[in-house]
Amino acid sequence: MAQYSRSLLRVFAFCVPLATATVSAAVAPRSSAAFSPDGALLAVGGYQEVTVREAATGRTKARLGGPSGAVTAVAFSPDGKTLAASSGVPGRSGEIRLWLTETWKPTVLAPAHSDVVYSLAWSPDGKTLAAGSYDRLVSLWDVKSGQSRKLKDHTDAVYSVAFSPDGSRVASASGDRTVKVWDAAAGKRLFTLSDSTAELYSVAFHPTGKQLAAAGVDRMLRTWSIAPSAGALSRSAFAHDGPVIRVAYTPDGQGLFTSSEDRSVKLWDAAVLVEKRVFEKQPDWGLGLAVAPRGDRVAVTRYDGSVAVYQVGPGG
Amino acid sequence: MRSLLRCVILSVMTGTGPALASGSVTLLPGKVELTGARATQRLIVEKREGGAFAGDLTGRARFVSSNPRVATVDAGGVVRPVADGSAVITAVIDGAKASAPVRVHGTKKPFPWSFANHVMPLLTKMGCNSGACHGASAGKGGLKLTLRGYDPDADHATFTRQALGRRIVPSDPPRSLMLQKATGSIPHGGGRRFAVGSREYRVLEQWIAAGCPAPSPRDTRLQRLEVYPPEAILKAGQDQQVLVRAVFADGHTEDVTPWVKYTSVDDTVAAVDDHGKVSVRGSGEVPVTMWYLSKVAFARISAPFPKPVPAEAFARAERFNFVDDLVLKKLRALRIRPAGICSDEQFIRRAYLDAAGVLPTPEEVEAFVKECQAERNRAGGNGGNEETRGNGKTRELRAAPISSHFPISSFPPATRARLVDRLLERSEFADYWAYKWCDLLLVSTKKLPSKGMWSFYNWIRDGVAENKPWDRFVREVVTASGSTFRNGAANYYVLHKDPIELTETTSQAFLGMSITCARCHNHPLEKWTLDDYYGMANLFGRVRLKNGDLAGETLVLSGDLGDVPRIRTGVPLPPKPLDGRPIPLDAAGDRREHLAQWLTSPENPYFARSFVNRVWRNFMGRGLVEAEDDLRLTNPPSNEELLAALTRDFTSNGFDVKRLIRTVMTSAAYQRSSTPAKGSETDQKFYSSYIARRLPAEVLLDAISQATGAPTEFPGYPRGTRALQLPDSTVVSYFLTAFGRPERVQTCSCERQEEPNVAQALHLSNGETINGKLRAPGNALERVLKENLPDELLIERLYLIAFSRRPSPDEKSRVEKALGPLPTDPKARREAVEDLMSALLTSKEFLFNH
Repeated sequence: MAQYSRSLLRVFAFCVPLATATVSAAVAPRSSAAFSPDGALLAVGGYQEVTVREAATGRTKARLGGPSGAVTAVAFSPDGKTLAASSGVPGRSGEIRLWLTETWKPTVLAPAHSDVVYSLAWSPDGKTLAAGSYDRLVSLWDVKSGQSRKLKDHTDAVYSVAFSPDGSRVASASGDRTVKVWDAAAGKRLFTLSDSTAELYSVAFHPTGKQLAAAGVDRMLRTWSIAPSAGALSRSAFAHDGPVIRVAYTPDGQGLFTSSEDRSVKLWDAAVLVEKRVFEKQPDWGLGLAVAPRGDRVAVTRYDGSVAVYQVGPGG
Repeated sequence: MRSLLRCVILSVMTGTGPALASGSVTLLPGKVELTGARATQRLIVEKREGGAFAGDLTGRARFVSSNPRVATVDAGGVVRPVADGSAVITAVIDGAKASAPVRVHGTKKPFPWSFANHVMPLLTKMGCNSGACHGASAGKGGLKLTLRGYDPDADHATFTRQALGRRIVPSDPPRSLMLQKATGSIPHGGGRRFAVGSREYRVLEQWIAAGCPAPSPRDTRLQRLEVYPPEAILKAGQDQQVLVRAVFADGHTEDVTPWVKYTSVDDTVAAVDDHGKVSVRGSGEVPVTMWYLSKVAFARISAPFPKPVPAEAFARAERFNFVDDLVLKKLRALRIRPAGICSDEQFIRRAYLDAAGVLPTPEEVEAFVKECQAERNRAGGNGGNEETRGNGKTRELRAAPISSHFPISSFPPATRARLVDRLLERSEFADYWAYKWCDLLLVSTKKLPSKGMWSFYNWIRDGVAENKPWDRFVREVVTASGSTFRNGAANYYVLHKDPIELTETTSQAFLGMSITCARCHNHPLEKWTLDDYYGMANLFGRVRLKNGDLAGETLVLSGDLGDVPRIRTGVPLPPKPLDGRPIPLDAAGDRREHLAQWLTSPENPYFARSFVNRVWRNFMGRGLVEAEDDLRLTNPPSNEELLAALTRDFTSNGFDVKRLIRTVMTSAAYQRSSTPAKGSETDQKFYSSYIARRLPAEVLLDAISQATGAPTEFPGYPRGTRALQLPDSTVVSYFLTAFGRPERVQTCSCERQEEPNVAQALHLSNGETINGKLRAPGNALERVLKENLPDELLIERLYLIAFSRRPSPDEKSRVEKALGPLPTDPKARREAVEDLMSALLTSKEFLFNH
């Protein structure tokens, strides 16, 4: 009975636009993280809110309410002036919210997905925002005009999107076990990488744009070499004892971070896919993984709501 | 008549039936325990007749609780708890009463819904994790659940965490996608599975609100299912609700009736709906099976045939051994009148074909019938052209073929038993049964080199000829080692090289069970789990093959290393034969010994039983379990007592195969006529009559060859080799292929095709096999013609050759009418004889065993 009265209160809280700390910090998962381009801020996505902290001290600078569910991805624009966060109501809608980092004033893009948006990626020129959703679509948003284009080809949820460093291509990873690479300008699919044997949860471009990494439920970490209209598997390694949740390159392209449901976080030599460092045993799944712009820190946000920032020395 | 009318009018007016005596109704379950405030128990009121449950009267009953402050009961008989304490529920119906005590406890303590024990079975019942929906290997709509919930831990993670926990809103359970979709509040490919506010909805909602507790090793486990009523004797048109109660290890019970998966083995006798309501449609007996949380139980629904059969029909029916006591017991319970015993001619032909796959020669037939008659005379039997029926009355036979010279008014079991004994010693017997076990063990040059195949064949045939006990036979196969040329049984490991294959083949061949389903998930129809499967597979994990010195020779050895990893975890399990005792992974020695010991133990509930079932089916035409190798909990035998008794007899007599065969063949059940008694024509299940069946391909080909005296040429084999002597299934033969010879690629008994088809019919009439043999020079027809018999005797001889009996006067006159007097010109005479023989050989009487 006690639980019910709590949920009733919450319904009210939802209707009245309060900045809610709905579920206690210890319970709600922290599902995403991103450093600002200058490394000064760390945005963490939680349940129905984004907290922005000073990266150095951990002090909370802003609590941004409004998202309708778990904040699945947070991403700063390349110029640091805008923070984007994705969310949605499962089965009903997906949403992308933007805030100006100077004032933390929110703006919302027109909802255009019929299910939760799971991933966001900015183009290097800051003009386009790519989004991937459970509704199997990838969308490309012109941030200024608010117009969007839908890229339709995946046959299962799109869990992760990434922009190539030159802005020409977008990669998407899906529950249909494929990575698809698209021409961002034309909005057309260039090629599909089908080597994975189970759902893929995360994809990332190497800083040179010549390589892609992706991983997911089959526990393997794979890298492909990418040419303008084709890609080929270059390496694969058995990475974890459970599904891999996130992959992230270091800014110098030498390292590749992975976090997994087996409650571990690892740093790999990106060239040869050999483990360089295994972080301490995590208290829970590392859902959010963010590498600082100078490559000196990595933030891990977890299912149990905790956040940790690790120092990463040169070479791991 | 008038009082009957009054009674009917009265019952129409008052809606009640004739008054019931107290003691003739009972409440089921007889005792109710409600644990926790959320428990419920449905009750049914059952009529009792002569100690058996005989009808569901719940609809007409009125329910009362002695203490509504402890427990209430509604009009439908559902008991609900109010507070801790005791009460009595009474059902009143037509003046009779029945009561059941109720104990309520734990209402003050929370009774949390368990994911494994409540959420999972609910989802399974709703079909969420069925193979057609989210249980499919690729899931549906991004949600992938384990098939029928065989892995609660994985499913819990999927619901609560996967895709960032999108399916659950812990702070607002009704908003959870899980509930929104299942109730159709959001468009759902699977439609609406249950309604908002239904019991299913409330269980899920309350479980989410409690924080989605995960399955835990501390959760109590289901021990068994109780079914009410466990058996019932009903009539066509009656409905019967069944209840299922789950008994858990911690002692508490739950009424799980709404969440059980119900199936009927035979819808034409009784069907069952999703709510456990059985509707009886015809006469017979059928188990209704129930599946819940990987446990199985069943209710036996009997619907005796409508017309009563006088007791003396069973009392006076022939009984030659314990088999008959049990067959007749079942027939009596179902009111199926048994047929009479077959004639001596019918018996000798039947026995020869079923036991040795050959026809008796005319000389053998005449000698046997004389012997039978002599025994009959000694016993003082009377003559007459009659077949007796089980009730001692006799009936002039018209339809069934019967010789006018050999009366059969009483039966000579001793002479027939001696015939059986002689048959068991013939070399054709060894050929027939060796062939059968070669079908089972897949002896063929498809996968074996010729020398290996011969080695296996000879090993098998020698074993049959020396009557090697079946447990020793199987033990030698399972533990076979060494050279495949010198130890024929070792070829088993060349035919099946993979531990997965070995697991499935060994189970099917020697346990009569298909456990293939459990390779990827818990078996949906049986109790076998993934762990059982991979524990068994690991018994074969160390079998090694090496090339021998000679070409095509393989050496089979047991190694020291090697394990079969379980799927999904990748970890090998301690070797364990299905539900037997495990041995440690590092145990020394040949793991197959442990398997062989478990497999062939008299205590093994499947091994002897499945063998007995195979042998039984060979003679009776229908296994006690059908299909012959489909023994599973959800497919119980049509006569459990009989199968158990035969099995006990087999295991306590050293697994003696010939003895088992003799027991079956000397029973009256085997010797019944294939003409059913009047009123029993629809029974094809309970052995009231001999089930006529087409001869198997090899037997038929050999019979045709024998009758025509023209052997079949098999390429590569000496002239005169019978089809049943062929060791190899790859020998080319159009006839054998058309008539369903198994290729010996799969262990399944279904590999032998028994269905008729057009190719068979055409081949018999127009094909070369029969026609070629009829025309062959030097064949039996030629020899018979050389004897220069008068027409009548010539015709009689042909009948004896083909049918093992003389023609009746009626048949003789019909042949005369059709052919006229037989031509004297040798060529024309030969042709006429060929024509007559062709008609005989393509008739059902020849093609069938009856």
